[in-house]
Amino acid sequence: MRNILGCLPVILCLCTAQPAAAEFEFRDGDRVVLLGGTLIEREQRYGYWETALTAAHPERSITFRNLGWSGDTVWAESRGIFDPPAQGYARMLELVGELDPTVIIVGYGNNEAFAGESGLESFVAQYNKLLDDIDGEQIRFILLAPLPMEQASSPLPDVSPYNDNVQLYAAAIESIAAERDATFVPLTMPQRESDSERGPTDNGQHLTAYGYWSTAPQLRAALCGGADGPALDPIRPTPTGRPPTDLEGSAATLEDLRTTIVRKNELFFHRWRPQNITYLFGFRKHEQGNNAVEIAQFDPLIAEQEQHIAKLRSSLAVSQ
Amino acid sequence: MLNRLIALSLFVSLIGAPQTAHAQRDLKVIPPPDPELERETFILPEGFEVNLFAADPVIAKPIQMNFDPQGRLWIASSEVYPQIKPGQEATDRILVLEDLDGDGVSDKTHVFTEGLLIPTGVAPGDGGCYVGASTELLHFRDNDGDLKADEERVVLSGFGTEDTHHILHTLRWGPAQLLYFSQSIYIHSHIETPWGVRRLNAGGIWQFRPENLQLQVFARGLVNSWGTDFDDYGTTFATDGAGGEGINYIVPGASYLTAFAAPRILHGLNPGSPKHCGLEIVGGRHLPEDWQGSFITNDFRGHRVCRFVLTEQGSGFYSQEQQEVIKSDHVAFRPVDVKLGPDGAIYIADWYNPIIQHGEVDFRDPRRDHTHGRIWRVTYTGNETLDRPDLVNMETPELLDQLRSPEPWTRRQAKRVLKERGPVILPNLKAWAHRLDNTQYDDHRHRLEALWMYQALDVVEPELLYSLLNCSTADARAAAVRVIGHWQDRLDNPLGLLETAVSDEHPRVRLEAVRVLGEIARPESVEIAMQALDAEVDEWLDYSLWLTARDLAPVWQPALQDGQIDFGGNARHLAFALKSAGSTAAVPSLTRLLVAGEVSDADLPGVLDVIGEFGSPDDLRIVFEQALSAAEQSPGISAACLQSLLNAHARRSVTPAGDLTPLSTAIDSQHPNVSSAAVRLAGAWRIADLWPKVVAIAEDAQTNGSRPAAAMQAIAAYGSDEAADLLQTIAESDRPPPVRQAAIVNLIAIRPQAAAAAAVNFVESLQRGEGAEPLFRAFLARQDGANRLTAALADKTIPEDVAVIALRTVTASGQQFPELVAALTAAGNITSGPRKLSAEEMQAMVESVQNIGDPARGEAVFRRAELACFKCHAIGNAGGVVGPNLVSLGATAQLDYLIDSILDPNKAVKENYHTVVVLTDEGQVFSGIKVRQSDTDLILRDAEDKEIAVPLNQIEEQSPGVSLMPTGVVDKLTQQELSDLIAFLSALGRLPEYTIGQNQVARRWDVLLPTDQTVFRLRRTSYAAAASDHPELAWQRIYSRVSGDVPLAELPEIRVPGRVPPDGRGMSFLRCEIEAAGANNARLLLNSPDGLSAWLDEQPLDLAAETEIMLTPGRHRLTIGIDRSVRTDDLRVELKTPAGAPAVQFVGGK
Repeated sequence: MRNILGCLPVILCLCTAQPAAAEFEFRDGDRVVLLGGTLIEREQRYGYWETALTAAHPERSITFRNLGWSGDTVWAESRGIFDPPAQGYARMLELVGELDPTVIIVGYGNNEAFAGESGLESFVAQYNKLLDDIDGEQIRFILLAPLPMEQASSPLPDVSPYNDNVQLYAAAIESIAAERDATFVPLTMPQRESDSERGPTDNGQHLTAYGYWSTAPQLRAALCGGADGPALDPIRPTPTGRPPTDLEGSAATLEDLRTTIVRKNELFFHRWRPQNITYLFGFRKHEQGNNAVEIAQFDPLIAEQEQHIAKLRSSLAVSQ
Repeated sequence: MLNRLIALSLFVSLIGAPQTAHAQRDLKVIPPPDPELERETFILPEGFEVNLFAADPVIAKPIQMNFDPQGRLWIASSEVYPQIKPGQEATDRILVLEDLDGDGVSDKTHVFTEGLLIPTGVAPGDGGCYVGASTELLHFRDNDGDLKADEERVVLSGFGTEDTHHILHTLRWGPAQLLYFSQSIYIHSHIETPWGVRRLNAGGIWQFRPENLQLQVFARGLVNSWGTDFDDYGTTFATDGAGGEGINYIVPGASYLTAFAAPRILHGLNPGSPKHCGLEIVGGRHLPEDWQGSFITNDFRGHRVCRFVLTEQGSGFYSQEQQEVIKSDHVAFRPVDVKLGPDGAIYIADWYNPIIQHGEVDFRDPRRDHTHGRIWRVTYTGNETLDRPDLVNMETPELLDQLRSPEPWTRRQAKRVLKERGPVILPNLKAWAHRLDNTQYDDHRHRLEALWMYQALDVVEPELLYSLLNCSTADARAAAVRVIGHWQDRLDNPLGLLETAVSDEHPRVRLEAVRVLGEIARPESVEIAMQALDAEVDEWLDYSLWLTARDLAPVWQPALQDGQIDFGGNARHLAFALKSAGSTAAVPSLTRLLVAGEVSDADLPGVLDVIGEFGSPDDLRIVFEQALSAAEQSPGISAACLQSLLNAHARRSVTPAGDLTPLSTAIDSQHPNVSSAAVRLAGAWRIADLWPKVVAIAEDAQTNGSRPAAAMQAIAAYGSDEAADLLQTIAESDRPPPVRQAAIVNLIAIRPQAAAAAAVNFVESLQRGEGAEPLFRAFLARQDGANRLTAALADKTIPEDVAVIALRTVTASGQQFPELVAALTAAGNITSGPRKLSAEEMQAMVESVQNIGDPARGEAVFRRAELACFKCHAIGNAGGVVGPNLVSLGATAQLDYLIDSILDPNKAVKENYHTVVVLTDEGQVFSGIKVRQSDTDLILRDAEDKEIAVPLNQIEEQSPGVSLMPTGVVDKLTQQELSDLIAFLSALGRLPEYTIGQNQVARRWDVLLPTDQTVFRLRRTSYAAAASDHPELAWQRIYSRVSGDVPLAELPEIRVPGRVPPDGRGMSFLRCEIEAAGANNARLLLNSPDGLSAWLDEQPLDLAAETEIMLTPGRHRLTIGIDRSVRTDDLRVELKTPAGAPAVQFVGGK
């Protein structure tokens, strides 16, 4: 009971901030790609967002591919590897094309916001360019606001100047969404509970397991309006970030679903961002390129996990 | 567009053959894994022992280890390395080893956490440990002290994984409890922190404060640096597991070998070393006196644990290797990390694997070991091991007293405990620091420990800082200066403190001050930093000044233009800053000083260099006028000015403003340097009025020296039909060969076909091919030049030697011209080419080497002048640097690899040694090994070992070239000789007698040639004339054998008539150079003094088997005369210096 109460302020706050854009709805068969920096990248190791969206529609098949990369920006600054960022950007577009998504969740803005007002214009231009460059009229875009920082105690920096910038960038993204008829999700940092040992972050900036869990309702509320699947309250992580133990029934299934999603994400990570890429596909492939065949062998393993996810999801529908 | 993939591949110095399984494929016998059998192969210095601390199955594959304050050893262990298989679970672990009873053997192994993907570093701390694993820096916390992690936290993420032996590694707490870690050359990291995104492409060392997530790059570069440590005063050092420069002295903020896009780098202290992994500076009461402060690292390829001793040298250090801590021939002994233990012993992590690396050997090679691993413990029998202190249970005052412990381990760990106790210790710390006895030995170091504790707790304590900045221990002052940087925002007058430090009497204090100034973004910072130019500036200081001037450029350049700062009117300071930062806008401030005559003669070349490189047309006008007015009185200045104008035109196409015809007076100058430069400028600027004058010089049969060549160059630059006609006429004339050759060379660019015809005509008459090389090189350096030459050679015959020289020139170009090679081969009627062996032929060749190859005979083949091996390859510190150093070739490369490398050099080019071919917008072609690239230039090293800078904005195309190693180099060897040669190469670094030891032996020599002039000179004076620098004496470079001996039989004999009886033997003369870092005594050790006379510089030396010599700082020449009628033994000369004295060493290199 305490848990639910804890989330209440967030939901209330969301309701008032909900934009007037056309209601977004996931469809059966949707293929979702996530793009962004650490906010997106780190979701894959906890999986609460993806689990929340999957469980919201237990009867629909929705697959997720996380292409987040720490430190990334709309210019794909983290994706160059041995090439300039422009080539990393091109590779990202190519990969998105191969994944053939119907929905793209874009989570950029947090790193760009450090540049403040002077960087805003070029950010907006490049953000639009990115959406233009992702070819495909069928794709529905979900644009996430950058997440403000939580004021942690000294010696971490005073976050208010940064958060002012985040607001600026969030507003810009909201305008982009409005212009392009995309869905905007105004993410906010959940309040710390007074009796909680830990908040949604441990460095003021990046969500922890608990942080992803506690922000998941914001995504669900914004993207799964009339959904009837279970929410994640029963699998709230412990203060140490570990999943709760001794789960039963649908709660156990939900946690099982989440760990399967995390496993699938891990396999997909090895598929698209394998270690030793220098030797497998890069300029030293003359030495180990023969082992690149292994990388495609992740595909059936990912498919296997997807089947498992589908089974768990369906059983949630049954148990509803 | 530069392709970074190619660029990087040039840099990487991992041993690698393009075909997998090449380098280690001979390995067929996998040794039994019994640790005792391994231990029996260990050779240690006298008085040392080694025991097994821990081994498989309780541990496997240790990658990094660190002790905690309780004395437990934490290990990052990976069985998944090198690459996770599809479907494989990541199961790697962090292990903690406990020696419960203190007997030097681990009793208990705890699995602290598991399920990791290739953890490559671990540092215990903050209630658990930090772990580098894949893209993340993680922290695991143990809440109940059962040595099992209860919580996992992502501390940082975004580290690259492009190579699993380059990923985030080498975690180490620094002296002020900041966490340092490294990444290596292939890694690109993008890390979000609350302070902004931090990015690092390629290698580097990070510095991190976990509690506030401040992350910065502490140093850049190094290929694969798996060792970082700090000496007692926080001076920082690193080793490189893929570089070859031994110990690297790390200047804060500096770039080292292979740093991405670094225009300039610092080098390590032991060039020519094998790769080294791990680093620990050891000391304490358990180890003997001469081991105090020793640097221990590992040569994991050569199965050695190595020891180095460093001595101060200027603002840096000199490093010398000592006898190994452990030497073994066990193929699976792979020491990778080393740490001093709580008992004063040295602990060594043995990764235990017959196969190393994962580039050249298949990821899935069945011989890869995934399960074994050992920790060895080295003790000294002369001293007891130490009782382990119980730091965590000490009260704070007692713990603070541990900062005065003679044990480096105890001091380090006590600081860790104090730091984790947090600000509550501050009152105790203050009291302890006040109580320190300033009369006690090492007091300043104790104060420094206190200062570091304040820095660790991020509390500013100015009084303590000031007292250290003013103390009498230079190391402590240098360390305190570094702290100013951390506290700059919270100190009253940091620039005032640094202004004092920048003129400190000790160069390393000056260096640290210069680097801290680079972090203080104020215009005055650069003015203060440049004051360090007023004292002696060595390479490290020069680099630091350059770096600071560049780092601060965005701040000081506008301030200089606004007149806010003026460098005190000091032209040298200003020129240095401008040149470092590559500034254009600020050049007028420099020309003002030039016009006002405020630039001293000594500073003039530097100042002109900067103006030439960056000046506007108006700036260049001033230089031009200076050149004209100085033409007669100060020809040196005038020529330097003209040269800077030539550079400005060549590099940037900028000419002086205004009328250029007054150049005429400089052309008429009596001084050939002035006149030649002026003639070139007339052409470069295409001054029509001066054309007749240039033609007159070219046509004047009487002119000589450099003027005809300058005139030809100028004529070609005019480029008209008239110019081409004139050059063609001269090329086809009967004027002396140098004049014709200059005409042909310059004709190539404007009338290539005629030039090629004239060239073939010209070389037909050169029987011995003299002077043909520059001519061919000029053709190859022009787009289409080779094709023209090929066409002109059709149906012609040229002398065989000319063809040989031409073919060699083609090889040295790093480009492939198959048609030209065929044409030259036909015209010269010769046979040669790469040899490709079938599998059976290879097998036969391998057997031939194994059965009949003799390394001793092979060394003699290697040394033959006609093979010219040393011209490109060094063995140890002596020899060329165009090709790889061969010092440990045999320890890593297998026979088939060696055979291929010699018979078909392009089959397997070592990665540092690929060439690039560059085409400029002017149609010029340059080729060589890429050395580095700056913001403005690509720097190549050609086959002649010359560095060439090609301005980036002139590069039109870049493509990979081929090996500079000549094909067919061994064509004239017999099968026996070839087998011997390969046997020799395969012995290098593998067999003891072909391994370069730690002794300082003279390896690079010049030998006096018996020319007529030499004999004449020695006859007119005495043998002592050989010790002089007389220009008529002709010397030739030679090198010692690997053993250090100079074979007497290879030395030319000089017979001075009248002094040598007709049937007697003559003399041989050798000389080498000795560099002394400071005034010092050293001893020369000879294998025998028989028949030798010697001179140090020009003073005779009385030689004995051991001879004491006195050296002043600087370079000295040791000349040795050998009476061949007396001496038959080979010569070996060694240097010994007393420990702790300034370094003395033989000069090596090419």
